[in-house]
Amino acid sequence: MLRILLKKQIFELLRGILYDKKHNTMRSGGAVAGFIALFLFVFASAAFAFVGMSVALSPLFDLPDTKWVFFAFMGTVAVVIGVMGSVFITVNSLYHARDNDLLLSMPVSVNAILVSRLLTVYLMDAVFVAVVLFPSTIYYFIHVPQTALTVVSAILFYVLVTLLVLALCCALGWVVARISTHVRNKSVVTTVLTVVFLSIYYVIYFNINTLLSGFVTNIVQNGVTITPLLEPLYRFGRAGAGDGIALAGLAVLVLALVALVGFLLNRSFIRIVTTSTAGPRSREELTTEKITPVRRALRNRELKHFVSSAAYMTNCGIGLLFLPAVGIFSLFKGPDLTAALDKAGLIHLLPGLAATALMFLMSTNDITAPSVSLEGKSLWIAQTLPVRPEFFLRAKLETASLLTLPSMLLSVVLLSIGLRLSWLDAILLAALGTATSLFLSALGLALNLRNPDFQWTNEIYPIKQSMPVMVSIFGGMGLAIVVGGLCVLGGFLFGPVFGQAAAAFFAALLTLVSLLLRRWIYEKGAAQFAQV
Amino acid sequence: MLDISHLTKTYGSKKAVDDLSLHISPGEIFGFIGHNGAGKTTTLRAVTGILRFDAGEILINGTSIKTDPIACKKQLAYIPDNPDLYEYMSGSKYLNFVADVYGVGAAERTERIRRYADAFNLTGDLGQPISAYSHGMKQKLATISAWIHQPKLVIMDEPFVGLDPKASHILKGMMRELCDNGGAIFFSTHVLEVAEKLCDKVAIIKQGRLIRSGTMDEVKGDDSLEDVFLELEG
Repeated sequence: MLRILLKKQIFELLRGILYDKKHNTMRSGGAVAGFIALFLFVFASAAFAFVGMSVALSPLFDLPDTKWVFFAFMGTVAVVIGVMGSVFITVNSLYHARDNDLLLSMPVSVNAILVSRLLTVYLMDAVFVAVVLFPSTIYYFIHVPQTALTVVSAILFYVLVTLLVLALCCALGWVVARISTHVRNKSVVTTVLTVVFLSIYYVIYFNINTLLSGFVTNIVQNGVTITPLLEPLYRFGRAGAGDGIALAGLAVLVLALVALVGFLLNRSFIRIVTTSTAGPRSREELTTEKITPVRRALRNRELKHFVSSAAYMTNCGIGLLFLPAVGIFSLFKGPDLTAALDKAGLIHLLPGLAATALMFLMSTNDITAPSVSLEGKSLWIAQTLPVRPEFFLRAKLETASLLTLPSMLLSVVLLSIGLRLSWLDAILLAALGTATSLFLSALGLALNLRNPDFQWTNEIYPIKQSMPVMVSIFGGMGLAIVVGGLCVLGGFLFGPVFGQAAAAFFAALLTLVSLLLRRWIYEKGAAQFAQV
Repeated sequence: MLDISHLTKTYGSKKAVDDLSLHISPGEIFGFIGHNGAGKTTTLRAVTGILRFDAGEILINGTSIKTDPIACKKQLAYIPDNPDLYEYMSGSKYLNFVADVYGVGAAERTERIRRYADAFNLTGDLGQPISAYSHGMKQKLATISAWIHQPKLVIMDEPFVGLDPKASHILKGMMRELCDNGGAIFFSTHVLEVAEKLCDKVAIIKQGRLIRSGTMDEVKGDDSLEDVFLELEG
């Protein structure tokens, strides 16, 4: 039974890559190679940052008895990244899969369901941990002489860290799911927790270099004293560095934790997936029904869908929070940046840099990219209602704009104050931001109309792993780099006026392209939506 | 009310519906029966405008579903065999959304929601998210949403599946009431006893082709509908 479920799970995992849902055929070798190349590109880009940490730790490589520090540090980073990256995938995969009821109705044990579901989570964990540990450990191996035993230890250490991450994700996922069963609006709880997680992550991310250099300098100058508080971390690091006893201890601890979490999940799984929290509605409440115009009703429908799904909000709208957050950050750190650029004689590049940052953050708002696929099996409702299909698509675009534009404009105002931009630069930044927002929402919707997928079993697939989402996010990031880069380059080579002209040109160009995309959406896209 | 003429729909090389013609008049409950895969759902989906067809014409009160789907959809309501509704909405939110789209006034919608939800014993559950509903509850909610704008034509695919006996009884009453007020019902079913008692007219489809159609007496004569159906299906 477990083999059948695992096969199903692997098929679901690979179907997005290997199968062309639009033409009901397997993808060509070239298309699969493209997906793999994109994955490797993302992997390499992320891994690059962690090699930097290895470089920062390298002064410790030559000191006696400090090898463990490398593994303790990188192992801890891997655990944090792994848990933050996977905890909500764990919750969704375990508790919100659409085929939970189906599987529970069959003669399938809860353990088999859990193990098969956790396979996907484990693979995700393994990738996150590999991003941190693989390149940094390779760097370490190159600079520190190794024996076969230490290499094997490092590999076992990697495996144990992935299992530790799995256990922690399941435990935290269980906590999130338990909390969710006691509140009415589950998505709000999940989103708040996600934002807290991400905030912690970014605080660490922005301060890691300072912390790391201080940490290394301190050890180089003063050595390390293993206090009782530091003892677990010391043992953890020694396990990676090749201490057999520490490795065995870590293995026992991790396997015990996995067993405990497995027991916990097994005991609570059915109760959590079958618990409903909403209360009854009285007859009196029915007297308060209000009329909403069709256009707003369709927008409300989109908005309701967005806020009801934590996965949707956190994966496709996290930029809504980051945009003003970066603006607030600029109020505090902006003067330092402007002073540094001023000192280097590059202050005129500041608007271009601000535009790059703004557009880069906006690329994380891909609300429209999975919106057609998310209609799922309830697509028949939109298709049978007496509303022209383009109105549904218009509502998707309008909802995206209503969510992204205020956040972007607030960010522009804060950035303009924090970075002391001129009125003209602030207006150009707002224009470029607006054009980017219009373009990205139209691009995401057009991509999803061309490549819809209504047969998902878990909404995480269209939200996180679909082609329209990938292209929208990475295309948006590429756009930010190209457009922002050209504004910066123009300013650098030909002076600030050229940078401003470039910003105005790209704002106009993106607006024009988004208008063309909208025209396609309302005509051909609408026809496709009506007849999918 | 509904005119289907020479409807043909092909999936690849397979003809799901082959030159089908039907006429449904106001006041009629029209049953559509056939074996699994006979083409019933394809026909119903074509009538509602969800499915593009290869040949033929479908007119609702003289308006073509092909050329003016919006005008047609304003007059009809559809309940699919497996009502996948917006699970992120509560029952009440969903009903209000549908009422908003059809432009149903506040007083009318409140009265209709109350009337039908009370009849189906669903009032207390309207605040629940649809994701927490059973199949039968979703079926009831889909039925209320179909009736909320008082359509002239209701298209239903296996409407009695999942409904408890009381809800089935209420639904039959609602169907008769709608037809008595000049509306029409076109529905598919495998429950031949229900079709025999409820329908004014019936059509039997086999492998996409209409093999018998007419009033209940014309189709079954002195036999039971089940006997006639089994004989025709061979």
